[in-house]
Amino acid sequence: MTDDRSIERAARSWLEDGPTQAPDRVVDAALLQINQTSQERDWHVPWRTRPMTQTIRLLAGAAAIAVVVGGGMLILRPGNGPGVGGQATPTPTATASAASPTASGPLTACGLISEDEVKTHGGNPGLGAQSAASGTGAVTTCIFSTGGGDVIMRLTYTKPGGQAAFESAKNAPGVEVVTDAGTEAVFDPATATLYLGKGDAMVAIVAGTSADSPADRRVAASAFARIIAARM
Amino acid sequence: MDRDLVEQARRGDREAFTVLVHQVSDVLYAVAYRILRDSGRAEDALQNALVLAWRRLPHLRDTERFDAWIHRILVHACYDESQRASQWTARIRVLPNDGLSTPDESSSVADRDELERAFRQLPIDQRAVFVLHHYLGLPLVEIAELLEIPAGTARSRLHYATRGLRDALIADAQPAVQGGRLA
Repeated sequence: MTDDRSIERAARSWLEDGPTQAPDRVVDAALLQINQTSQERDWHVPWRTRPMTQTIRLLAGAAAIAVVVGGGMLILRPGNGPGVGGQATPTPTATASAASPTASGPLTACGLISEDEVKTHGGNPGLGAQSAASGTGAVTTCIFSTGGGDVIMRLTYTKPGGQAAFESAKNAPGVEVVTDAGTEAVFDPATATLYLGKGDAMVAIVAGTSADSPADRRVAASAFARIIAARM
Repeated sequence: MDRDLVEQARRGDREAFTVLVHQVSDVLYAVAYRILRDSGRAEDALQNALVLAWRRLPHLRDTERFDAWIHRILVHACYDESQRASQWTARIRVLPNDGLSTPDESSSVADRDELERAFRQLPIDQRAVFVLHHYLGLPLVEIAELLEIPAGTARSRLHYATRGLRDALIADAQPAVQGGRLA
């Protein structure tokens, strides 16, 4: 038994020997441990949850152009801001701009609800709530997370262009009409997103995590929606 | 593997994961035992692999790859167990047979003992490839994918495992005193 073929043949036969069933006590012990163990959070956010319709494509394009043109005008407007070669001014942090929903200036996603309100209505006030803003112009986003980094809610505010976007969301298959949000609203269980529409503004609220059921996420989003709807 | 069950478990459904555990634990234990050649360590590797799989399941992108994914976790749990074991038995080259094997008519008891001793001398990563190939019947390309190693590495591990077995068997067959112990 010294050539490779005979070794492999003998080894295969030898490997067939031995146990083929896991002991029940080991499986039971593993299941017990699993029952006391939480899953790790998956921070991966799908880039797109459903194919884009022609309307959404056009709206997204228009919003991108508006952001570029609007931003360019703000930068190049004489006498307003540093411009090219001008004097630098401090940039406010996302948290600072997010903290107060009554702050002056154009309304943004973080301006629709305060960290304290998110903390109070988020189901676990002890965990706290911190906001982080992104986006400028027609589409802004605000993510509220606990001190431990778990996301409580993600808000996206669209204005102008919100009316058309809301109409598109309303017509998506499987959406449910929400009647107690304080304004016209629908919930899409496929993406766990609650959409609020008012005038030319739309707010998309995603609350909870993928570990929660769509029904729980709808309830969580609705609690925030009633506050936000009054400020849109 | 039921893809819906995997998806449900991925979303935190413990009942669904329990069903999956009952479906996969036998084959995982069989593989772990054959890599580690020790029932106690195979049990520990299985338990650790199942708990780790539950924790990391939300990160699994392609639910159809669950089977390969959980085998990868198991093999790494075996590596950990082997490393833990080597801390205790660093100077012991030959371990006693733990008596779980049953006699096989196709090979003599002496042959099986020789194989057991020879196999235990192989590095753990070579043992894993050898078991996945010769016990589970996986092709080398699939093993490489499963272990996330280049196909060439899987091939060379299998080659060196076979050569290591052959060399150990030849050395074992020498009727002379080697390294201070009787062959």
